[in-house]
Amino acid sequence: MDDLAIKVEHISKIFRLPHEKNTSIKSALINFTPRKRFEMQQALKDVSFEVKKGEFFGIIGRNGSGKSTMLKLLAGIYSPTEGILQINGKLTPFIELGVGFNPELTGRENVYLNGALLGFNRREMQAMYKDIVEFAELERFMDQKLKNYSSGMQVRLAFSIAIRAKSDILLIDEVLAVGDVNFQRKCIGVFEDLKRAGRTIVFVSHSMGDVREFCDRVAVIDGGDLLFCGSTEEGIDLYNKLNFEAERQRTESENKSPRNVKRFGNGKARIDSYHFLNEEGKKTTRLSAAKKFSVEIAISFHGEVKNPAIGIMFKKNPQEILYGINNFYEKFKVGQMKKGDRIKFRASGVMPLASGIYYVSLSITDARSAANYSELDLLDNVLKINVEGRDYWGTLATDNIKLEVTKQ
Amino acid sequence: MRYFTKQNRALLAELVRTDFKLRYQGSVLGYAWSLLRPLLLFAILYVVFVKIFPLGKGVPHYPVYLLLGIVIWNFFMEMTTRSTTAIVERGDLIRKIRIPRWLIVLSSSLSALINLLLNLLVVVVFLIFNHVDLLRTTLWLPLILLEVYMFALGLSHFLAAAYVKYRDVSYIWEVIMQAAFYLTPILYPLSKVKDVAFQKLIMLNPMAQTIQDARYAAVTHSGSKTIYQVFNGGWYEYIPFLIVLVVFVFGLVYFRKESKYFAENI
Repeated sequence: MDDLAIKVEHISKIFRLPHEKNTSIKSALINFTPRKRFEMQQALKDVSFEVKKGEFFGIIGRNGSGKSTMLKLLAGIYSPTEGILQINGKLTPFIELGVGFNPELTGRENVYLNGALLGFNRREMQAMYKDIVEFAELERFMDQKLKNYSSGMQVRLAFSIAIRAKSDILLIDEVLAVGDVNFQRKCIGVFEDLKRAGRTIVFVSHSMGDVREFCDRVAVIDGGDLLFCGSTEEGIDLYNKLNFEAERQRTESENKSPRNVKRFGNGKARIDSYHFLNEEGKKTTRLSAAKKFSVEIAISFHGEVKNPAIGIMFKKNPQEILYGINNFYEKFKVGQMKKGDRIKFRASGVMPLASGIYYVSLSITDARSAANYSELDLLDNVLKINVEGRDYWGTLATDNIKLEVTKQ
Repeated sequence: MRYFTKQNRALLAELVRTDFKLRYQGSVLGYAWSLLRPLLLFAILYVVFVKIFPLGKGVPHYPVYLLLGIVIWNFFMEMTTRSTTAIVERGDLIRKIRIPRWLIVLSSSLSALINLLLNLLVVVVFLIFNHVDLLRTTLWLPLILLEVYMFALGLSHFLAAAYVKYRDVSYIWEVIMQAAFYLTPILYPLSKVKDVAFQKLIMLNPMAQTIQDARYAAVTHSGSKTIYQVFNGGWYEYIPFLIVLVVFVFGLVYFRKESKYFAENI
């Protein structure tokens, strides 16, 4: 235990969540029969890990994974349902900045109050008051009420007080995401100092950049389970995988129940159906990077169309087109169409996009030239596809898209 | 385990200070209200119960006698009602920082105690104005007030912890305090209660016992019937002290047990 700062052994935390919160005695009396009125929610399951002295230790996990519960247990705010928690050294008692700030008090009064929460008496606070105010760059505002501060000013003040805490172990929950660039750089400087001074820091963050930069080791928590505890790189990889998997599941359920798709055009042609096929020819929205894929679109015409141009746009977000396929640019003629014609358009080739989630928009226009065209039917962001595999970054240079059209 | 460490004392002082700063914030007269309130209250009581309904005929120095009772009762009421919501109101602290939970209840009790001392200053002024002789028994007053404080502290801890789980605690307590106000000889002298059995029953309440004792000790020996005089000896007269002790211990134990789960229950 001598070289350990924190030892967590088989910690479990179960919250009893009342179905209908019994906050009145009447309902407590009515529900007096020993029926099950609570839902047990296990926030942490049998978690064990150790943090060595002087280590910068990260806890990462998706929202609701239990990492904040873990931090609150470490801070002593919650008590564990099961397991043993050993802390070797003095620990900061807070997990968030600006706890106990009162908007009705002035900045100065809040400094003293906050200092008291960290265990400093008035005399000690007076000694460090000037440094705190200087670091926060708030000299002119200290006699104003806190409610008149901007949120950035409040955080700066809170951070300057918090770093005075004389503790061996610091618990930090996402603080770098606040303040302007200048102040963030200052915060990073403080972290580097703390690290150099050999203090133990437990850091919870969603920013993998910060985690990669500071943490010596990380723990990955998901659904209350400790999945991994070890090197930062491996931990971040695992975290990214978890996130990717969750996003993939979400897009699949989104595609099943289509959202309100923006559709416009003059109606001379209509996209009747569309689907993606993977390298095995199976209909799916899960495609592999650098592997074969194809798109099939069925179109019916309700008027005369001289130069049908069919476009498939891939977007990283709903606004920006990343990559597109269009027969007009490929100089592939679909041929003149008249009312009642139906075609099936097929584009196939090698998926040029790297792994990720992409929006897909489909369009058909009547294009006389690149600048002169009329929109017949456009389905904006109609699908989301998942591209898997991490073989390369960015997009592949590709000129191997093959276009076909069959009249029906 | 050490309770009054340097850190805890600093925090307690800061919490009490904040409480006082916020209490009269936005008012023109500020801290003056701490003294003005009891003064104005006394003016009303004087007009109603001395001039209009002379309830205390025959009681020497009845106006001061009345004021002392009111002041002690108000302290008891203020402390318990404010403490009831103390933990929930400081929910942001409880959920995000590890501080001893009892400090929060203690700080709200100290605010009430400071108010009591200010009010007692007013009482002293009226003792002088009414030409009340200084009684040697006045030395007992701190002990009597300590008993009230312990009683209120035990109740405060219990109420604060129970309120986290059941929000109706505050309403129930309000009703209890209203009933207790009339069942305690505050406005009327105990001698106005004709039935001796009833007198005995009333005096079992620690608040009745302490208020009567305080009046006996500081205002008048002849007008304030104490529990000793009502029971004329016998072990019954110790019941109020026993109640105070039980409430004090139970309140603290209950609070300690519940405080582990404050952060998740608020």
